[in-house]
Amino acid sequence: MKLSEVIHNTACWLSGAQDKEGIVVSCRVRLARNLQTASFAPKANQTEQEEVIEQVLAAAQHGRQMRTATFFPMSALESNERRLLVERHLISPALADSQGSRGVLFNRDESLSVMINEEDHLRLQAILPGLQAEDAWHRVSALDDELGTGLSYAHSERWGYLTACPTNTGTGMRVSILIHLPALVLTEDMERVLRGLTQMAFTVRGFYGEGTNAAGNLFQLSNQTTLGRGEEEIVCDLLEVAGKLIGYERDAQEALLSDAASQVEDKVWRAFGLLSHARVLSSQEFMNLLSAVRLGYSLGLIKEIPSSFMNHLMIVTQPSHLQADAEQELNPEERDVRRAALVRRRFEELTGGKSTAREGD
Amino acid sequence: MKCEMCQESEATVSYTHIVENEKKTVNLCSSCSPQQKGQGATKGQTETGSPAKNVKAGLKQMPKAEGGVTAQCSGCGTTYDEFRKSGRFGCHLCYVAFEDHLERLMKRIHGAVVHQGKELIEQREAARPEEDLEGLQRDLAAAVADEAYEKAAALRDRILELEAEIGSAADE
Repeated sequence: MKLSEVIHNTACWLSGAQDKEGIVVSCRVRLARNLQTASFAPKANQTEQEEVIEQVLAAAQHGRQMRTATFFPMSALESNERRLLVERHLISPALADSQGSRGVLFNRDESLSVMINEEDHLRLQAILPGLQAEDAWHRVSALDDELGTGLSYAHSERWGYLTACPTNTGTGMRVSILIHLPALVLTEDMERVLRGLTQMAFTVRGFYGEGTNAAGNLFQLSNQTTLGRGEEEIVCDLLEVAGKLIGYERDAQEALLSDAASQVEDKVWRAFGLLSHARVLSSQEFMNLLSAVRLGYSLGLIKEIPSSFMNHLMIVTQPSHLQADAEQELNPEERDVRRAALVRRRFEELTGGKSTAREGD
Repeated sequence: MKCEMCQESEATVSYTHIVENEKKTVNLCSSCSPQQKGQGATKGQTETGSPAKNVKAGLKQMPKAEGGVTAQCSGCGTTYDEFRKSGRFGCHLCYVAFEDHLERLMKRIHGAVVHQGKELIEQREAARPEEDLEGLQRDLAAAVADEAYEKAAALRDRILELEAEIGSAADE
């Protein structure tokens, strides 16, 4: 697979399956692993880094799941190509910005990936649509077993898997759920909810992880600690909390609809109208409008726009995807114009040109 | 409202942090806001107390190197002081070199000091031949489906061996 093909690929996690009426976009489980045979990635020299890549690729060749996966060395990629992989959640911004021998291996539907020589020698990831955290855990664990057969992982009986940063020691596992909470934000209950979550050792971050804002009311809920509890327990706890959040969001949505039905409907359909007709759309505005349309989908007000369509649109309108599509660099103003054109075209294709709300819809 | 950082421009972004159960809101202008380059103003950005903050706090609590602690990792040469500053282990042997000081740090970060999760695959297989057997049977089915008959034959032999082992262990 070439990188130019990747932009036309629809990643499996965007399919909208099991997404609880558009509330849960996806679940991701990542495992941090290191080898005993080399210094950890922040300290490793070029030779060590290359040896790690060689060993991991050899182990992947021997397993079933990643045998046909493609490896992309960072050194062979232009800056925009790296950003493209960040936008697809296949690599971290840190890997994209790094020097040296590093890279990523991922399968065709982008459900499984392995970053090599990020902060840890290996960062295994499984990402699936909707609330399938358990399945994501099973898949990444199976991949871990395959690779672990051919590699000598750094592990101790007391500390579990040894990682470069002590925040990952133990299971090396971070499970995160990407969840859309527009009604909790609108009713201003989100702060109260966040406070409760932090007390329970969960982290809430924006769409692109650490240091990013919650664009389009999308939040990433993840576990804070990795030592002292088993993986299944961590997944189970997170699912329980996610279940509660979904419940709060649904209550807030119902409250909105019963208190201010016309205003909510107006907000949803205005967003639909703007997305279908706007000529200039900043990333921020697009995410906010899409959030309103997604709320309409959750409330059953808009039926003709499936969540898979919205999820996919959210990725292809990101800056590096727009540039890859245009096959040239674009300044922010040019991107906003191309973003609007792309969104308009996609809406037209979906609704067959009838992008106007009719009475009784 | 004026920006709380430069006290000059108009504040356009409001950050809400929740740190250790306390809500803190900071209002900044677009140039003082680190995340706002090229973007419009957003309301209600939220970030919660991160594990990274716990690490910093935990590392601060660790005794300083001057106090007679001069540990250095035999594997990668990372000194205790370097670890205290960077918060990153240099290799797996650092965990041994700095072991005496890790308990407090881990407790601070994770609230726990012993791993409870998955073991290495070798350890699991050594501990539970029955599960290994199930895995081999799955691999055998897959090998047959792939028409990889040589591999299937090898797997079948290994399964027979293991079944014999489990059988004799049960007889004892």
